[in-house]
Amino acid sequence: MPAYLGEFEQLVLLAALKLEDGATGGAIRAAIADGSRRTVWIGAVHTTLDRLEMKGLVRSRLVPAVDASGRGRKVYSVQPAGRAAIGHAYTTWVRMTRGLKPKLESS
Amino acid sequence: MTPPPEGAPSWARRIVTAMIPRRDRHFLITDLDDEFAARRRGGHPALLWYFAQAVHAAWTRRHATRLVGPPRGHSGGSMLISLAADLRSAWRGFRGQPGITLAVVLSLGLGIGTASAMFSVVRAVLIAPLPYRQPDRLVTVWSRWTGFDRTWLSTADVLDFKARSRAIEEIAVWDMGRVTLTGIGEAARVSAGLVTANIFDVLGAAPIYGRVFSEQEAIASSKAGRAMFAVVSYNFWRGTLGADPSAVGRTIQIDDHDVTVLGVMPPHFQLPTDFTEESAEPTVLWVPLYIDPATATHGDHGLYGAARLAPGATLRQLNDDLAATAADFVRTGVYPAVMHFTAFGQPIDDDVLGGVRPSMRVLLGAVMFLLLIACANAAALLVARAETRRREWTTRIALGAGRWRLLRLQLAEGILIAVAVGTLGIGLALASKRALDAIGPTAIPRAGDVTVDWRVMLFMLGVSAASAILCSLAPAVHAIGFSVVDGLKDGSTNVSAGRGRLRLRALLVVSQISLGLLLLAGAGLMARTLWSMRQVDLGFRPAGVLTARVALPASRYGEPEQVNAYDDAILGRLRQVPGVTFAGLVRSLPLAASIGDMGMTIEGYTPPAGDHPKGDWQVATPGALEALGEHLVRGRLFRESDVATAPPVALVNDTMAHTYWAGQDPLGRHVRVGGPSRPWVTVVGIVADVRHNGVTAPIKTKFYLPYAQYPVATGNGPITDGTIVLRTDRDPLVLAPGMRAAAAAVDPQVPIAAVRPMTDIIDTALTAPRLTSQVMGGFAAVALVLSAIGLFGLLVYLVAQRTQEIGIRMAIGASRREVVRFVFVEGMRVTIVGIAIGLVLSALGVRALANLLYGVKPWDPVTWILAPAVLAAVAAVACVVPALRAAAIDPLRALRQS
Repeated sequence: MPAYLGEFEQLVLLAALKLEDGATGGAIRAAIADGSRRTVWIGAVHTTLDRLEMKGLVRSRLVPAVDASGRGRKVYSVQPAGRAAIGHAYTTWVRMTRGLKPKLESS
Repeated sequence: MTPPPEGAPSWARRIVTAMIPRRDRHFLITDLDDEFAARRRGGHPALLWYFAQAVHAAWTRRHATRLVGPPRGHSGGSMLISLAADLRSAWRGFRGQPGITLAVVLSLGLGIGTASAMFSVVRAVLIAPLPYRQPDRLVTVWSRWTGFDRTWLSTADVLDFKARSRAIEEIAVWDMGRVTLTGIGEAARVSAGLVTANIFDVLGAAPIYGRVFSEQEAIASSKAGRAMFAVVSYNFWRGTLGADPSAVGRTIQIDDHDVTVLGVMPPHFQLPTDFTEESAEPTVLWVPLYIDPATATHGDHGLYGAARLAPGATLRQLNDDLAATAADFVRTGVYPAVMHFTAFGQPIDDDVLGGVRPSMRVLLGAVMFLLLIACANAAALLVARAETRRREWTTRIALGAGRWRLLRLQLAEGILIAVAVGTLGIGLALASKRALDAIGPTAIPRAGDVTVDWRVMLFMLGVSAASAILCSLAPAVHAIGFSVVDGLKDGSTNVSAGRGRLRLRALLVVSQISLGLLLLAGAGLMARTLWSMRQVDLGFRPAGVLTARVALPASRYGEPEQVNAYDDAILGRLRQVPGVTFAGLVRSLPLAASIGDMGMTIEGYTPPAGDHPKGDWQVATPGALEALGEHLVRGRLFRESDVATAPPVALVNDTMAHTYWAGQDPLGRHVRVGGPSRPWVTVVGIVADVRHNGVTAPIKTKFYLPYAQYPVATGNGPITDGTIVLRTDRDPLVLAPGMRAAAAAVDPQVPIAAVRPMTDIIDTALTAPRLTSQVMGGFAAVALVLSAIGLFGLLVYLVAQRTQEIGIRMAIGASRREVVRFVFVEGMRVTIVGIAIGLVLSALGVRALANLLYGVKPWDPVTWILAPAVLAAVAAVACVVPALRAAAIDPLRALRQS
């Protein structure tokens, strides 16, 4: 049984999948903010990423600095378990929304 | 610093950097910078957004993650990283309360450090096996008769025991002596063992170089009448022979004779007596002794014996055999029946260590109590600390942290404490080892072997870890066990839970006080014992006396005239040394050397059937008893006129005068020492009893013969081994150079050794009680301080807990004096309960001490009144500050708080 994901966790995983190699905390935050049209806090994103990493759904690595700041970036990649979890969430969503399109779009 | 391209302004980043937890900076700041730049490019307000994000991130990362547990590592969540995070969190916690942390570490470190030091001593002295093969199969063999509980063997005893006991696989004997070593550097006087060839086999020790001597070589030496072969100690080989492996086969001069070195023994090899009787001057070389069955006699008891039990034989069988053989001796008239002669074996461990075992055990027990006190103190402090963190914990639990998680955090704190305590403990143990080396107690066997090695470290780490973790977990379990809802409501007004914790802390303080009283009473009794021993009338005045041992080589001093000439010459020179008021020679120095006894015939005294009068035999020159400060009761001491050709004279001690001349005057009466061919010796003086065989040992009958007349009176050879005694009004050590110069002037080949003031010898004789008393005193002082800290902490807590109550009392009219009294009475109540329990504990504990006491009863009223009084006084002082602090509470502020 794939891991259960909360809503914000799903958003973080989707953003990380979409961003691929560019999945830094900041990029994930921006992607979620864009997609969900709501205020997203970078601290919350990182806390969620920590939790996902703890569950083995994502993995982080440090990428050396490429600019004058000297600071590297922490880039996340979705692990197979993460793909499975978000895939399961997605198919659940699809199954549960089947036949509901008129109701959902009218509300 | 220039800002990175398009990033936030450096001042803003600096502020944000300060806000973000250190561990998150390396990626969070970049993330924020990137987004700041993107927003700028997109024309969105960036700076405000930047700060808002940073504040939010700082808060969530610093608080929310800590409350539910820090992220489990960044690369998959290993246990190690999680432990590191726990340790960091614990470290932050301690830094927040440095006072309590320091007190916990100090009290546990003190307790564990002293316990470890004590353990290292006990291990070296009691637990480490003796340097022999299968020491549990080795026994020392002694004879016993009326008045002598444990004395030497005769040559014929040894042969008969060996022949008639099947429990003995082999028996070896030895005698101790001093020899003069010449030909290697300056002439030196060293202790030598005269040992049977089988002794190395019996003890189970093999040489590291060369070999030991054979029975044939022992017989050859015996026939030659001098030592021809020697086996030397490791230290002798390293020091005197320059650690040269080719020293084996080399010739050295012992007492002016050539002796071949056959072998070198391993570093720790010693004769059993070197651990005890001879510990001040252990033997450094061993020469052969041969018991010739043709000349063996039951008349002369002077040999130490050790036997190895036959395979399967028990000590009991050996003792039965020895008793049966001894009974045969008595039945066949070898020994008179009234003498109650018998013989027995004793495990070698008991023999070597029996003397110090009781003190060691008492001290080990005492240090364990000290450790308990330290743990109770630390636990009480940590309960107080847990109290201050209760709300933090409840918040964590409410936010979802598991209780197991909190326990793990506590465990991390325990580990940190254990490391700090272990470090402090190791320092203390090393310092104690250095202190012990400085004292150098030769009276405690193997005290020189005490080391702080990995075993001691392991013991210390084990105890540190166990006590620190227990101390930190106990309060956590106690604190975590309560209801979260209760805890969140408000800890400070939750009076019933507060009282429960107060009771726990009071209990811990009571246990400290009661154990503290036990240690204090023990220390008091030991101090009184030492005092009593110091009050014992030794029968001479040790202050102002300098002593040195001297031995004349038999080759040049075989004749009485030669010895007398030497004695006259050296004493003549010593009396010229400025500051010397009296000078003389004695055969056996009181409290330093065993004296032995000799049978005698007393004119006009008919002993009970089968009994023989006897006495410890002292030989002294004129001036010797004056130098020692022995007291003349009646008659006279020896004079220069008591020469070999003059009518022989003797002195007797008070005990002898009362034993053999009860109701009569011994002066002018006659005694004969040795066989019927010997002349009668006239008693010319009575001297006061001297404690020769130990400060507290019983006094025996004793007689004194002059050096010059000893060969005439006894028929024995002259005394060539003795001790110089000098009396002065100054510091006796000032005489040492003059003494050496005088000896060198008379005969440069005769060295003097062991130059010591007599007061040092007394100190050595009192080493065990002195050390026990001092160490117990130290333990008691630490216990007192810890108890006072515990009580102080308890009352401070009590005052904090009841600030509102005290405020209300004051508001409704209680005076400051009444508040002081209230707190003071609380403190003293705990103290009195502690003292009461302590008295009961001490009543049980004091039994262990009973064997060590001298001149004081276990229920010594002075100790039992003083110890609780001292404890109560210290407790009262500890109550004063919290009481005054309570009185300083402002009622208005206290009420406003509620």
